[in-house]
Amino acid sequence: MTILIFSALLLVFAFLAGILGALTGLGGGVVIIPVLVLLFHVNIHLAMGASLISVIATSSGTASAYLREGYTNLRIGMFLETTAVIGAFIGALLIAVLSKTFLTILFSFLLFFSAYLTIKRREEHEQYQDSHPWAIALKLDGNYPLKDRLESYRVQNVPLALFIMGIAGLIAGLLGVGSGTLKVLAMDQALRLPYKVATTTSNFMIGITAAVSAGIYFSHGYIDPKITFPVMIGVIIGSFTGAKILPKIHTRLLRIIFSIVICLIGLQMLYNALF
Amino acid sequence: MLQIKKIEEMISMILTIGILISTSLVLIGGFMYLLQFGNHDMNTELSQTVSYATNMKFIWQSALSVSPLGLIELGLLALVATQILRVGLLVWFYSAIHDYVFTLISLFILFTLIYSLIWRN
Repeated sequence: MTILIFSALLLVFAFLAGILGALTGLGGGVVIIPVLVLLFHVNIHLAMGASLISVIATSSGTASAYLREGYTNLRIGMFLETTAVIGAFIGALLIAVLSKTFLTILFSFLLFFSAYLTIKRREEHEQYQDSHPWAIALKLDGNYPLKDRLESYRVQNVPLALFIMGIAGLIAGLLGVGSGTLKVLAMDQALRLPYKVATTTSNFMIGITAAVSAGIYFSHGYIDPKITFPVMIGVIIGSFTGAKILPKIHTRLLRIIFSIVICLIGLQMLYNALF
Repeated sequence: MLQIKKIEEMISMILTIGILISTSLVLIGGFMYLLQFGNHDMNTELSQTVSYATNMKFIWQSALSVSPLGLIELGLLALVATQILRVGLLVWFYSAIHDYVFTLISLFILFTLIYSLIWRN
């Protein structure tokens, strides 16, 4: 196979991974890594590097749009980023001492977990009267735009969110993904933020967390420009296409179908790692 | 008094411009690479161990010599630099409104970002 054909194929598959990532809400990284490893037999370190860059690019693009809409809570984003960047730094350092088999197994578990969270129906939170003491001290409460007014919200369990965010950073650094699912989990389940605020603030954070890991990936040579360029371009175009068609499709059913697909990919990766 | 709305708009602009610069560089570098090496065999090319720069200084040098891979790497660095820039802007914003806790928080994140970029084995 010539480089031209290889790059063109990567571009097409990265595009599809980007669409799938946007439709499921998992992000392009979770989908493109198994595609690179299983289909193209790319070294998992290089697949993670290419994914990490794509993650920074797509989350920056969407964060830019969300910031203008007024949902993103910058204070919460920056405060939780403190443990996320520590996690991301340690995670990226750990890759060098962990075996590729271990990383592949961990990745397949991330796929199962993500699929489970995607299928699980989300429950709306009750309205809270009080905020967590840390949230008051740090002025983390905020509001977000509804159709005709601003709705305010009160922030709950801040320490738990900080802890989950550290884990999210660690996973992001270890596996070259955005860890969007875990970040949203921390803000949705621990802080009890409105879902739209949780997803947009997570998006704001992903680029910064991933950039910390990227510094170390660069110096270890995990970011190969030859593989990264078609992947990055494909995932960006795919993600934006996915975001465009998202409102037009019946997501609940699609989410379930995609989650099954993601589980199957996870099983294949687990099989590859073990046998 | 500085408005948070204004800062959000500025960060949004930084992100948009950063992505435009980054993807342009990556696209130009990618096209040049395919023009030069497109007909080479993929397996021999990929099996070569680290044929690209992994050090800030070398990336800079290979980009200035307009090598295709150097340009791609410069584009990727621009993407990371965009993240540093937006955190830097928040450091400035929080110190300007005398919110020292958040100035420290953003400074810590800025420091970690820069430290990871210059980190060496």
